[in-house]
Amino acid sequence: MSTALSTRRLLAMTAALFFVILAFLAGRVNAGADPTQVTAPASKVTRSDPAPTGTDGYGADPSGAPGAAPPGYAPDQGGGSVPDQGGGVLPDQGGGSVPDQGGGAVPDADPPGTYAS
Amino acid sequence: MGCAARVRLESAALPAAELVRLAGSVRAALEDADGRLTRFASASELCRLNADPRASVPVSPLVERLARAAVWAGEASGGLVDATLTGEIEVAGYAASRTGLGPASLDAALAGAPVRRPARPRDEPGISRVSVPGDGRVERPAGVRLDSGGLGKGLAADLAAELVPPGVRYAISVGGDLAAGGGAWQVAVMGARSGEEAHRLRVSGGVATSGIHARLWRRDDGTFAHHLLDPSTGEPAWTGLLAATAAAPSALEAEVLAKTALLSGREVARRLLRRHGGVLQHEDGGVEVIAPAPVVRLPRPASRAAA
Repeated sequence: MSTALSTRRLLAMTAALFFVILAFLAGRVNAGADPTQVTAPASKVTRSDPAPTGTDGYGADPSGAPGAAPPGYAPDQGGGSVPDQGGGVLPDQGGGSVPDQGGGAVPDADPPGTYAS
Repeated sequence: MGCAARVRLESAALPAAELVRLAGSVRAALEDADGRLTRFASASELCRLNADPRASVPVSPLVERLARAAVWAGEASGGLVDATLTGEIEVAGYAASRTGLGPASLDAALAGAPVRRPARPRDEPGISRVSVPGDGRVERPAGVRLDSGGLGKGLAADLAAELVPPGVRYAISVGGDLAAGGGAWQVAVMGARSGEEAHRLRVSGGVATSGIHARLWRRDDGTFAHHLLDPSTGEPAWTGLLAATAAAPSALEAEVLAKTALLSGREVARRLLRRHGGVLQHEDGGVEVIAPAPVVRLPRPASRAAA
């Protein structure tokens, strides 16, 4: 009986350790540990994971309220920036964010850009 | 709207000639939007609407959609994105297109700028006096004038994207507002100071950047101005941010999110960009990447799903 108990304890500890490591790795990926996220060396780049509230301004969140999509647009289905999961491209499966699940991790040599104009 | 557009289409299924034909359709749609929505040509439909003395004016579906987008943007941003500040932007020195004109010195402008503070909405935003009943008319008191501004860029990109059939990857940029679909895209966020790539985002949907550095000029009185106004004062907003880049499900939403973030100042901007992800560029040149909130969708257990 004690052997079975020890085995259970060992399995439980192994599972707990597994989830701790998994959570750590997930946190790293979420924080931006991403080999294809190229950063120009000239700029000081920081990553922010802020608390979900702020008090020094007046802006409402255009994307945060229920039914926040503009008239004529589909409700928010999760589009926006996409966590990189290995590079490559998948077909769009209905708009919004489409996690990339495979393909060659080839950085785009001439990516489209966003800029103020 | 007076800005450059760039269209990129990719497909393994369609022949190159079909993609070229599609690109032509997209270009025609963008040129039509530019011709109708610019405030720099008195013959444009937007200018004719703004000059119309009637309180209720019949408009084309495109201008109706712009007006609806403007009303939505005003409500969604808490009044910070107010497309009726046309008179104020003209007084600030932006009455004619600045295409081809280089910006003034950013460092000189920052050195002479007033104390940084978040912009504030008006007690009664001008956009709240605009309504779109949905029957092909725009209603507003005569004299309330709409400026397409960034809203026009985002809307035009989204409208062009609607022309792209399934199975085609597309990245349609209108003055830096990007509609990107058919899969995830790597998008370069251009540095406000360097003009070079400062970061790279992976985006599906839309991404836009709002910044004070690109349209920056010196006024006759020696002060500097840009085109992002604090609605409460009608003057350019100096919030401590040079630029805000927002990802969102569409280019229009990204545009409104980016502008709201920039006008709100860095603390609120971080919160606003947290939902879809984005980038803040600070006056000291610092580039701050805001990671999107993680989304975890767990499958429902089979027993509960059946119940």
